[in-house]
Amino acid sequence: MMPATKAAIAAIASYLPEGRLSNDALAMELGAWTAGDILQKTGIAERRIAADDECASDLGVAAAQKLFASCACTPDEIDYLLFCTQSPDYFLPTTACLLQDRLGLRTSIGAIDFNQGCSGFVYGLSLAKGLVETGQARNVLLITAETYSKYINRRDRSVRTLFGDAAAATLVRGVEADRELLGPFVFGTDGRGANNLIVPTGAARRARTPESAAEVEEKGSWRSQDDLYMNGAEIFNFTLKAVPAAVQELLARSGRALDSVDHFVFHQANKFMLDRLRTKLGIDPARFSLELESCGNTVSSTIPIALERAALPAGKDVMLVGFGVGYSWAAAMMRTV
Amino acid sequence: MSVEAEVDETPLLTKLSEITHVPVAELGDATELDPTSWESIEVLDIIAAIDESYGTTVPVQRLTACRSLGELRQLVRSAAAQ
Repeated sequence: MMPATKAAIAAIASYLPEGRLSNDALAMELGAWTAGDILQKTGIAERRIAADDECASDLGVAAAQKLFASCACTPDEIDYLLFCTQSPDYFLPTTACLLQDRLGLRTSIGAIDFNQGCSGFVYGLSLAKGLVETGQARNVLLITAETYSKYINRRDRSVRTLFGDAAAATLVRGVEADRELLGPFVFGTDGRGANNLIVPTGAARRARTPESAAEVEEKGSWRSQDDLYMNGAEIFNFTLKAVPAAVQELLARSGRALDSVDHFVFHQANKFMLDRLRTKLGIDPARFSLELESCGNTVSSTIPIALERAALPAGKDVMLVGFGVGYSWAAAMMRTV
Repeated sequence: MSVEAEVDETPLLTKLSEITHVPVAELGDATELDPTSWESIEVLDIIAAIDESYGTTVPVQRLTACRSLGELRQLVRSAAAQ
């Protein structure tokens, strides 16, 4: 292949808010489980929680400022901003517009939000690759940021034990290369699962009312229609079907065998799910990221956080797989540079 | 190859034994189950065990409606055959 402009992940910086929620604190509040039970069930020891006045944009700004401080690039070099969140600051305007201003990015850039959850990072990479490899942008700033904690009922142990808030800023840059550095991609969507991970009220479909705020108990967890609801068992079912199939399809599309992949970074949903997927796929633990003990499931930021912490040397072939709310899933190959 | 020939029920029976406190050797089609009383993590354990034993998944509502091991086996075999 002749050298051409190829999109690559050039740098990642993540940010976790100051607030901490430990298993000891959860055990004290929720009662039924000990701190050890929670760690064993989820693989999570602590989650980071945004302050009441701290929004996804604030986390995103902090992550991007870390990226710029690392000298990976300057704000002036950014041509396009992609912001992935399901907890935007406002219904409108687009949070990406707020970020352009707060980060001091040029007014000549493109900036959009997109609403995806656990698959959002991989979708963002595909959008960034398209922008770079069609010559529309040279440097794309992909920011993922979530504050799911604002949607979670304090007495809902099924989700409060899992989710943490975080942001990650990823620089996707065009570089001259004689091979693909990002891709191929595999995508999947199945809206039949929409009600299994949802905040039912608060947007245009269902307004919040005193009735929707009424809390009900189910198996020891309390929530209202205004809170995040997750049917964990059905999400697990979906994952067991969709993820192995996506992995096999990606291997076929990239002409690879599982053993030729240097490292695997899956969405860090919870340890139980990741262990089952890893075992089912026959991936050895040394090549499989498990990076949620200190931050929990941070939705669209789990993959970039795990990639950053893996600190892989250049020249490694990595498989990324995101899956969850929607249902939505995506998988991609990448080569570290 | 038939579904039956590929099945190793050991993971499912082991997990059911843990939940019901019935020894594996005594588990049979007539063994009564009450999945509605299971902890959420136990439901996840059974889903994982069904996947490991049969390589399939079943809708959670139908899983929790099973009242015996025989009903569960029928449900899972039906799903695996599809």
